Amino acid sequence: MEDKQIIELYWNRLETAIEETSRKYSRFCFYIANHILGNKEDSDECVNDTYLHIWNAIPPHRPISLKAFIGKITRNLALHKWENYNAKKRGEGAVPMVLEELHECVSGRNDTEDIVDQLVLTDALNVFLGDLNLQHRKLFMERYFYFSSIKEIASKYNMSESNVKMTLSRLRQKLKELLEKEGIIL
Amino acid sequence: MRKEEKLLKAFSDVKEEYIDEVSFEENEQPQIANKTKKTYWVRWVGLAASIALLVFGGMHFMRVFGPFDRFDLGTEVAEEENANKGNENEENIVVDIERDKGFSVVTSSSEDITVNKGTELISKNPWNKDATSLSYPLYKNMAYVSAAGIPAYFSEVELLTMAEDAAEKLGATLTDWEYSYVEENGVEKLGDPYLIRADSDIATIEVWGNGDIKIFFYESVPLPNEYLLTDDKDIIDAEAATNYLIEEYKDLLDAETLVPDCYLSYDLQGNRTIHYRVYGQSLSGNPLADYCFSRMSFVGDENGNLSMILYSDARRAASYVGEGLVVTEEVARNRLYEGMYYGIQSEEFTIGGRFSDENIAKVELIYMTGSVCEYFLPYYCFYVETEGGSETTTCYSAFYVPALTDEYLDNFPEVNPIGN
Repeated sequence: MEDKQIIELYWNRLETAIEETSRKYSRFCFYIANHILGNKEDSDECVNDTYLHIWNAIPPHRPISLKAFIGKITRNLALHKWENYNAKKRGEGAVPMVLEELHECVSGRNDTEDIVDQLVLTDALNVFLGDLNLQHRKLFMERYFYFSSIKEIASKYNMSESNVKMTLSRLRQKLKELLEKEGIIL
Repeated sequence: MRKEEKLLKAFSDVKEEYIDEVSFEENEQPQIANKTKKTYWVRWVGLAASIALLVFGGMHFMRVFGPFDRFDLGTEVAEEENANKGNENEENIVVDIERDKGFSVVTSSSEDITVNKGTELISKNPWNKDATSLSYPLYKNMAYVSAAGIPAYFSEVELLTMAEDAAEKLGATLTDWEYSYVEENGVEKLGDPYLIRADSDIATIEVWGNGDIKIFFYESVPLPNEYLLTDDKDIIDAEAATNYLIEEYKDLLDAETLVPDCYLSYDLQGNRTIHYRVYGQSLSGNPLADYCFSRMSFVGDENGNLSMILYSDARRAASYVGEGLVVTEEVARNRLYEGMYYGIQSEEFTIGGRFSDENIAKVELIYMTGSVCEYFLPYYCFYVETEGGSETTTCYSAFYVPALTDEYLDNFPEVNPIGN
């Protein structure tokens, strides 16, 4: 079923909307959740929570891209759950490694100083991503939005793992330079 | 909240089109490059002149036969085309090069081979004539600087990191290093190192601008008698020695499995040489690309003890540009007969003076690799019996035929042998 048709089901408050969303996007949502949380049970729970959030969000939202809308919700839910795990010293998943990588982009002279407003940071991130060629942007999004492993990325894009690591390292360096240039990292 | 956590959260709010660009379709297959869309052109203007090439571990001389106009290497994958609409920042890698020195090619298995009469040419190339894929991945060599073949891609920091990584895996510590830079008009251009040469407590470690690494031990590493790297072994014993060294040094090459790929050759004087080689396999990689790109060699001193390790994976400094359709071996054979080939020798020096089914001993699909290649492309390699053998030996020369289909080739001219 096309995304537009699924969205109409939500607007018409037909419960088949969730069935159709599940049919089309359950693996997609599970992929995101599982890469963050690292275990099936919690990931399944996260996916189910996603459907509830979508039901509550549409209407009034009418997303242009249902895939992106769902992906963001799943990602946020999974990260929130991961934060709880982290506080309780539980959980696995790719988040710690990804955070370690992103630390390179934000490490400044004084690690206790804060980054400015989240909106400013998001704007800078969009500028950075917009300046990348398509291949590099996809690699960066695979790793830092979708938490795909280096191995998965290498397999998907016909690259060696070392090439993926090197490419991501160079891109992180570029992001760091942009954030410093924009004065976003103090 | 830590700063990196804030950054991670910021990804949730990036433009939706960036989220959509990453596809998770089931059974997703890369789209075949389409000629009518954005194209990559490589133009060669060849001269019948010898061109010295620097290859991994040796020197090869190749001649270009006649002028070649251009190869259309295809386009971005169709999926990327659709996702890329309106994006004006996509990389433009259209290449149109006119050179006055001709096109130089290097392959991972480009040597002329002299073997004992009756010896079958055997390799571990995973390509099988009956299982040829419709398409193979194509790569742009990001370390390509010029036809001189001096590679430059990685930064000083990256080269040093690779040298440190190699040292660590050897249990060594770097003590000093220096960089060599690409020169322009005799003046070094800072920022384009083509080499770092690092000293450690046990070896000199060279890392080249394309990621090729060479380790030269100050004192040869002693090996057990049965594993000495001598030239008097048969292939079975040579592979046993190679397996021993794989266990010792497997961490150097970034591959899931290392496979011995030794071979025996003779020079014109009849001197025997065993090549102790390895290729790397990844479960998720393209088998042919793994075989051609992921390589390691062990070199012994005069006593057979280990004096040098060379290893590389050209894809470290390469960018995947799409899938290219390839022709069958039969079509490639016809191209060979029509003169569409590169080779050290010319057809007239083959046995009988012409290519024929009788003098073609072996065919395999390979990738052209090497720092002089602007793109890494698939070629059919035809091993043809040539003059130069003796009562006890047979000599074969390699002839390379482009494997990409006709729609990628434009105005491919007739080949003119040297001297015509």
